[in-house]
Amino acid sequence: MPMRLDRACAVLEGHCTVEEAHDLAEWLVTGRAREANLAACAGLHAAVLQCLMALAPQIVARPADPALGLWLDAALPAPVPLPPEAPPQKAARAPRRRRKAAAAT
Amino acid sequence: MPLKPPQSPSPPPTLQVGAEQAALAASFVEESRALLEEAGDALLALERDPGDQGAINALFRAVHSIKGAAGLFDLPALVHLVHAGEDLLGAMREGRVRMDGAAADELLEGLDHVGQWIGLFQQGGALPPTAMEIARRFAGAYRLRLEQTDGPAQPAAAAGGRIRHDWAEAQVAAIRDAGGQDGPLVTVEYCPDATCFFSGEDPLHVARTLPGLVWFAIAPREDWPAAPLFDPYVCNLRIRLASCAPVEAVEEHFRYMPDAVTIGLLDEVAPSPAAAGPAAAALPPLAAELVEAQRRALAEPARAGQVDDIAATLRNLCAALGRPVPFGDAPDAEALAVAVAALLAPGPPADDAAAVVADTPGDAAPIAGPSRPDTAERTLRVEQGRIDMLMNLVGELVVAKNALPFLARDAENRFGSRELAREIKDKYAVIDRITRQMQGAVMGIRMMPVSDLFKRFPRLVRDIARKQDKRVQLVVEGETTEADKNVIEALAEPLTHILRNSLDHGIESGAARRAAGKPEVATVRLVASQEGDSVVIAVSDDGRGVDPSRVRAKAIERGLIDAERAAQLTDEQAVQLVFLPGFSTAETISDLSGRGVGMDAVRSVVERLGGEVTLRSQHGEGTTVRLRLPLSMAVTRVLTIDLAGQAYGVPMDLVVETVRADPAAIRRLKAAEAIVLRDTVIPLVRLRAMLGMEPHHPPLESVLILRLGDAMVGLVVDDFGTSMDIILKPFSGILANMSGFSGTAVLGDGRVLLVLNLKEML
Repeated sequence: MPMRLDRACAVLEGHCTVEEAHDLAEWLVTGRAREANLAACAGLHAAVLQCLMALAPQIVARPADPALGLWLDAALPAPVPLPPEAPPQKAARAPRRRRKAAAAT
Repeated sequence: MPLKPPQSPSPPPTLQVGAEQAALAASFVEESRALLEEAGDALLALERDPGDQGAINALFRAVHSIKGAAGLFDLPALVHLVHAGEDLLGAMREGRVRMDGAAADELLEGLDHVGQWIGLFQQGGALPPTAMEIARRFAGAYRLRLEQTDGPAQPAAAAGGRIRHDWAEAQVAAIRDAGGQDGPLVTVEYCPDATCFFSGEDPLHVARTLPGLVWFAIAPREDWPAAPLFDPYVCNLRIRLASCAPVEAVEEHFRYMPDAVTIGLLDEVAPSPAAAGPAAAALPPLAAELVEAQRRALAEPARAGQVDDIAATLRNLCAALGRPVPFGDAPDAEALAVAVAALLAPGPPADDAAAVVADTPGDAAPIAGPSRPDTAERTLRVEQGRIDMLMNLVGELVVAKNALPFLARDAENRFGSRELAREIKDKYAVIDRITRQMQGAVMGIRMMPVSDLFKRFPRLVRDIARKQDKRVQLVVEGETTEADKNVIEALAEPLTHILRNSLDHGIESGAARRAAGKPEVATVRLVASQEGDSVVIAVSDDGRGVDPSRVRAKAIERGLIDAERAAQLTDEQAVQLVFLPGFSTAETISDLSGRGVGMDAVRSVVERLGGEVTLRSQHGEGTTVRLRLPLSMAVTRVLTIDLAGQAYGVPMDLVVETVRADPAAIRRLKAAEAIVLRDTVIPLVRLRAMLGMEPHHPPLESVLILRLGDAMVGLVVDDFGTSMDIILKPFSGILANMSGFSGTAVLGDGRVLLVLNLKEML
């Protein structure tokens, strides 16, 4: 399973294929305060990347693969790390703000 | 050199890397197997209809994915072969090359090799040294095919003067900086088609694999729509790339999407003084990554002794970037930390943030941790051995449970306690019910659809048909029908045999079919269905059918039957002669079938599974072979019989009735005996005689009336026992080939029950 959708965090592992994009998008659209953990992600299909770009979940962990990390950095706004005792509201606000900013430009 | 992935920062323990790699390899093997299967199916579909765009896309995507995944491992031969195949398929997809039988042969053969290699990779992790040679041979064949049909007007993408991308000019400094050299750079603006995901294109992969990639930017082409309207499968990406590779190589890389890219050139520029400007001050992403890694290394107390190494790395890095080295000759850790901070300071915020994230991995994990609900996967992959063990345990439970009635009888007879006996029986009823449910559940787990069995046949039929130059379409129905895994697995060989027979002997050549007024493309139907407690698989063809007179002649010639008896047989009965051992009607022995082991082998396998085979054939119109098998072989209901004090089991499905007959009612016809029951003459067989025991003549003969195929037989035994469910264990080891018995079962009181294989004996 390259992707696990937990309650608040999408965990992408291994090579995320085009099939995953649909589930991920659906999952990101249906709720806010979503996070994505790419620590174990070794490859992303462009469709999956698009989901991350358009729906802007908070990236809580960058891929371990540095090359892939560079691509993500190029495509995504800078990840906002959570302080250790992260109040949940803060996590909810970050993506929303970003989306608004995209609409304004 | 520029974008080569750096050694992983702060090297993780090698053990972890090994485990990750192994897990990756395992998923690669699994995924590739599935993809190969997909590719095989698509290829067959494509051969049938070369215009099938869906099939070619599926095939291309499968092959492409295999190539992509294989690239992660050291499998050059595999990648080489698949890459060449991909080129050919790409040309087919664009309609430049047509798919035909020979091309399909080559591609299928190539896929077979890939499958083999993946198997080898799984076992030993390395390919044989001959692999590369094979790969070159296939790649050569594919390329030849490509060249033969490839028009010369291919590289029409961007002839004439090169475009100059405005954005490239604007960001020339950043690009140059990342490139780290002054040679001409190729710039690419890549806007993949909105529907590109459906044609198996992965723009990110394409971009990442661009040769000589030195710089990239990725952004949405248009603003993202509101979240609810977002469609993940409409590609809205614009990828800008710069490469230090020759233009030809870049063009070659984008050869499948000439419409989606514009390729420009960034000419040699005198290194601009902007290098000192704010844009250039930032480290290129890769360098930032490296510096960041050094920073983390410095922060680890365990690495205090490696300050020199870190300093050397930083010094080299600065030299490569053409920057002054920001520390002295023999820096201490503190000076290095300052230098690193200075290097990182003007870096893009992404790196800083990433650094913090990477710095606090302990935080990232717990955030995901507690919020992870128990969303267990819906399906579970379990080793078959475990299910078998569960099944055996349930079997033992059934046997143990069957001991309770004996105990109840003992309680009553030997210890004189009726009450206790009744209570034991009550408890027995409860345990019996639960055991049955358990049995049902375990058997349910073992059920699998026949599609797992059927999926191998399209390829088989295709290969045989091509070898024989016949045109055949295979129609498969009822793939969702389920049966026990053992049944399904055991059926593979008989079904292969029947299909081969059908194609080899049944289906006529194209000319013969035309002459007979049949459609030139023959149809073979493979149909599965469930009927009551059994699964029925029928293989029918519209070929020439079985010729009863030829079968008769052949059977006589082989000495399987005498001429007189052959003449008495109806046509339908004569056709059944093909099931006799040693019967084969093919004129020439081909490498497909007709080695003399034919339908009798099929019959013996099916009967060993407790099933039956029937063959119906209309001469000139076709043949249907029907296999009927029990859904599950786990539990067999038997009637026990007594013979010289020993218990034997007879499968219940054969038993019609039990009769106590007066010996006087038994008629003798020469050596044979028969009994008349409700105006029907039923031949009698004495089991004692068959097993070589002393004859026994009780005042009333116990006759078991059995139905074997269409015939009724009376089996004379000593006495009847009870009926019971048993777990039949086939013989193993040196007893495996013992005829006359289908297996054993342990009874509740510990005795062993031998189960007779009456179909074989009578």
